[in-house]
Amino acid sequence: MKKIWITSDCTCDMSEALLDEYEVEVIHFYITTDHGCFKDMAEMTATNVVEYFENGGTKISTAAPAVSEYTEFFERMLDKYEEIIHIAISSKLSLSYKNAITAAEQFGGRVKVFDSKHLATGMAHQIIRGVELARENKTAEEIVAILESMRDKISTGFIAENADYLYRTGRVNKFIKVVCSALKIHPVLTMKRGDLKLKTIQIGNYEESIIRYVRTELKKPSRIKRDRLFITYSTVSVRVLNIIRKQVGERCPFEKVWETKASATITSNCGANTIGILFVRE
Amino acid sequence: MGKLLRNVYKETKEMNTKALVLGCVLLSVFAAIMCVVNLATSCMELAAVTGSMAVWFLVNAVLLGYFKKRVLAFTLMMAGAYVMMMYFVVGGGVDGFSIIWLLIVPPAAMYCLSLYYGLFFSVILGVSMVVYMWTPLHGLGYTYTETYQMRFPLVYFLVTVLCGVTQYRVYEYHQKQDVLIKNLEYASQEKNNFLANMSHEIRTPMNAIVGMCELILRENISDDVRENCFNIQSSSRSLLSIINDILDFSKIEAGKAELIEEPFNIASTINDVINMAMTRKGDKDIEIIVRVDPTIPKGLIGDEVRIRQVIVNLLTNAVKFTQKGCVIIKITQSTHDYGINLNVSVEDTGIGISEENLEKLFNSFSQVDTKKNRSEEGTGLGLAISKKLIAQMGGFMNVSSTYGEGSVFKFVIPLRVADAAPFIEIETMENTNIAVYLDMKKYTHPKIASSYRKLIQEIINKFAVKVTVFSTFEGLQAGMDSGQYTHCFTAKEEYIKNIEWFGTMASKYQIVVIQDRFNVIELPDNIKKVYKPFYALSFAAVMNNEKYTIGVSGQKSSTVRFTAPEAKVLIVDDHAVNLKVAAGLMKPYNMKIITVSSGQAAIEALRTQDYDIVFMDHMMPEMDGVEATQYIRNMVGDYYQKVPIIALTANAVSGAREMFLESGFDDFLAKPIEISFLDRILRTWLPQKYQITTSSIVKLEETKVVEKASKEVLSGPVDYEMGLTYAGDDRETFYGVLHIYVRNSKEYRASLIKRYEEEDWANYVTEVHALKSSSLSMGAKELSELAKKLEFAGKAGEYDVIRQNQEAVIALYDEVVQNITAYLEENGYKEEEPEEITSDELKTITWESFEEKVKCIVEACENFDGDEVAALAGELCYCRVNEEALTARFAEIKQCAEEFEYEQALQLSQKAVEELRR
Repeated sequence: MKKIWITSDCTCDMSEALLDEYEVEVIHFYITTDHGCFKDMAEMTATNVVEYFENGGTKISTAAPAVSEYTEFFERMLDKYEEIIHIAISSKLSLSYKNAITAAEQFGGRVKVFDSKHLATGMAHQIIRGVELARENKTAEEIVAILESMRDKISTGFIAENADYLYRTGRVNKFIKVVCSALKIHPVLTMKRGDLKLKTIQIGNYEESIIRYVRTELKKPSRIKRDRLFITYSTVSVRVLNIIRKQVGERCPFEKVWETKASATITSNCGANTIGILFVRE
Repeated sequence: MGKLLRNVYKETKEMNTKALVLGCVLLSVFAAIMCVVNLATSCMELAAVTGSMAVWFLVNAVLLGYFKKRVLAFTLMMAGAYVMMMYFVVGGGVDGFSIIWLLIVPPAAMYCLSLYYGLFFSVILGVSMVVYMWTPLHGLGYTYTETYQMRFPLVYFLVTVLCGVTQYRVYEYHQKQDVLIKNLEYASQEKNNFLANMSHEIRTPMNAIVGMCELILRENISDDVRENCFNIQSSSRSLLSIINDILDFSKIEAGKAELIEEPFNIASTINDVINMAMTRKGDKDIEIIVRVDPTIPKGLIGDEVRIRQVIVNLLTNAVKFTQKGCVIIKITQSTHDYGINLNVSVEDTGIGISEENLEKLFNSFSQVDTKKNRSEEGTGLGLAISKKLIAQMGGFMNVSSTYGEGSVFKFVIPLRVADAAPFIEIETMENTNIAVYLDMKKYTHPKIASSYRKLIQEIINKFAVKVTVFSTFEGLQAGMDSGQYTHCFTAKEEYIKNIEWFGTMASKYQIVVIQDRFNVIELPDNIKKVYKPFYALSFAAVMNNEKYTIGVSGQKSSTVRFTAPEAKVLIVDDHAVNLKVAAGLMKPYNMKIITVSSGQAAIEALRTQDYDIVFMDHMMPEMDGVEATQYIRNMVGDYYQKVPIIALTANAVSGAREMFLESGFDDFLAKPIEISFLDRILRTWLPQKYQITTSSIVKLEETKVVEKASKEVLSGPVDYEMGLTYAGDDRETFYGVLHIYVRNSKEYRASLIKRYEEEDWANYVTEVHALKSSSLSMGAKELSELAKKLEFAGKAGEYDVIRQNQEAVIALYDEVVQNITAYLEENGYKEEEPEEITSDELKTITWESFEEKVKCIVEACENFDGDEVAALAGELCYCRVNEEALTARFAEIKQCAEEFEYEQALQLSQKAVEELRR
């Protein structure tokens, strides 16, 4: 039995292949539509969220797993591992951290819940680092300390085509949404101290805006750790992906570049045609 | 001018309120900035004016946005703008500079507002300015130089005209675009409506082509003609499938595809789709693996036809594009407050789909890799239709694929639950210990072995059963020698290699051999066979000791899932054997069954009673089923239009359904009756309120056929195993049917010969038609085939064929009757002969007591309570009244009750009372 291992929730946006490679198990969020309740990633994907709205769907809500589900999940994990570190989406964005903490109390310290203060593959960076440390047989405290120290160095951000979905989830008001649509403004958002904030805007043609976004994000390559990069997207075309791949390759090549699709939970907040590059600074 | 004003008003009504509010706010901000500038430059008057305007525009924004007073707000706003501009003109500002602001009015008004409104406002303002400059009013305010007076208005109107012309061009362009888009949408909608409405017109002749080909293929034709006809039929079927896809898609696009949500049993859906997959697979070297969660509720509410359509589409594609390896269908569930989410995934080890093609996979009319897949048929609509159907059901469909390795298609749909009991149950697993011997190395693709391992593990987990998997024969031998196992499951190949050992083991343990449907091997009686795909349902059937095969028609012949004691069923058939078979098959449903033997009798029966469903034989003498049905539909009263009438036909060709629907039937059931089809018909057409779901599985008898019959009898012209299947595996019913067949044989034989000798070909055809289906129900295949040949010859006017075969059919008929008689004797069946009742045994009863009992019999007949009628009539057989023995009369009444002829029983009872009254 492994001594310490890492778990997370589906909002880390790691693909199945990555989850298998790093032997990470995730607990699923739920998406409720007009018709039913679906498990994120297992039953409903980012594409489905977009299609749902395009087909006239009016409301979507996301929900973290309940305390009982976390309890069941941790029980299952503790059958395999002695201790687990559960990396949760930022506590300011979801109740999942709080629910996980409540569930973890029942396990006498064998479950540590870590607030990633990030979302999407910003969490994935921490998960992978955590797995590497666990494989090096570090203690839980050591792992948590190292993850805390890298938290502020992770750049988690993305560019959205418009503010429609941000308006739907109440992150911006209607005026901003209308202005963004009218003036072709593409908000660029980032995680700061655990919360999602508007970093800047790009104006004009979306593909050109993406190019400018990538250049801005990677403008100081010497201060970026080159070991791994995540390109995470909700629904974009292959053409747009190719543009980003090219930009990244030209400006700041990485040893490993993973392209992952966002979960339905993340997509229902940021919308279609949203893409981000997530990396760790030195 | 009037037109201009009308357009102005119209445009004001149609303007986008949000844009107007934004405009008001911007104007307010502009005026506020002007106020600040004027304050800074100490132009207090101007500052007062612009400040007032800022407030004025803000008020208008509120009027528009909050109170929605569009016309009022806008008029006030423009009035305010006019006043402000005229103030600039009259006031002059700093050295007359203020008038320059007028130049922004035409472009701002026409671009930000609308063409007509902007033009109107600009013209009004321009005219006001000219009036000020060129009339005695000039000098009341700022005095402009002569140059300004002459040139500024010119420049202003030039700007107005230029903006007007440009904006008009843009306006015209947008108008044309709007008209074009509307026309395109209209055309598209019309096209969809047309195609949706064309469904019947296109399908009917196509079905006729396929149906006629089938009839031709049954004739005695040359090989060349047969091959050509087969090609026509095959091509027609392909065309029909393509047309169905297109029409289906158009219906969905036109919003005419409605979902029909009804309770259904997932077991029959799974059965059907597996059958389709196995048929489609044919002898292709791929495994179909089925992994199903047995705890899925047996009663779900949804559009079963559409769900099946989607799964069939995914499976068809998977089998089509997989040449080696396997196709895995997995069905699971997740429970929620509203019911369940049904998760279905179809995974294959086929050619896969590239990343670029994944994007357009669900696009209508597109097929990916068209060059590579040129040999594969299809419209490219299947996936588009499936996705839309799933979306309509509130679910989602997804695909993942690796090019060259395979794909996974999955969908999830929310469904409500009608019956939460699991659809697969095993009665008891106590003391059960199962050995499984599978040589996984024989599977060429790694996915097959891993899938089978997962399947076995799921069965272990879900049924809490002890299972040990052996991958070598030596291991199995050692395991079985320990004596701890009760069952051993193995595959055909493994069985063949060690046939003697398994034969020995079969005397001590239950051996089950899983084999494919092609190249089936015969097994001894004490070894069970199960056809692939082996999965939870077939495992449960073996453990429940049921006879379970998935045949071509997908019947699971051993369960009845509901009863309907309040339902009244009328069966109409001119042939007693067919009536007996049909009634026997319906017996487990506990319905009130009434039988009549002609169309006319059916009409009379419907006049006197309301029935919940009618099964009407298609071909009957004098008044056939179609005529009777049309007569019923024309009877006065809503009931006669709505009562479900199901055609019973021995001629179930393609297109038959449409033909019966046109004749007034609601559905049809082919003879010989398959019990699963009967079950579906009853579930579909009986009112829901009558269907009481059974809480336990109603088991029919153990299905070891031919226990004691002699070999001579077995090798004769009758396949008793087949006949027993058609009788729903109910031995009692089967023997009863055989007995009636034998009992009626003399009369039938005489009738057939008479029709032949009189050359009454129309009735001769009716007789052989009845012989065809009744013989097949017994298992007398050869006789049935010969009867069919004579039937078609009679219909085609080929009487020479009849003359050539008449002797043969009579001889074969005699042989079959003799064979059946011997079989019944071998199996110890004896009809209850009416006992010889002596007069000493008769009891005298009073007239009042007799009347009372007859009254009870009449009531029981009216309630279709056959058992009660038989019991009461049986009692009266031992009685006499008014010095007359009642035996003969009431023996006949008892027989009528046993044959569900309540009307006749009632009439005989009443007649007995009248005749005996003194």
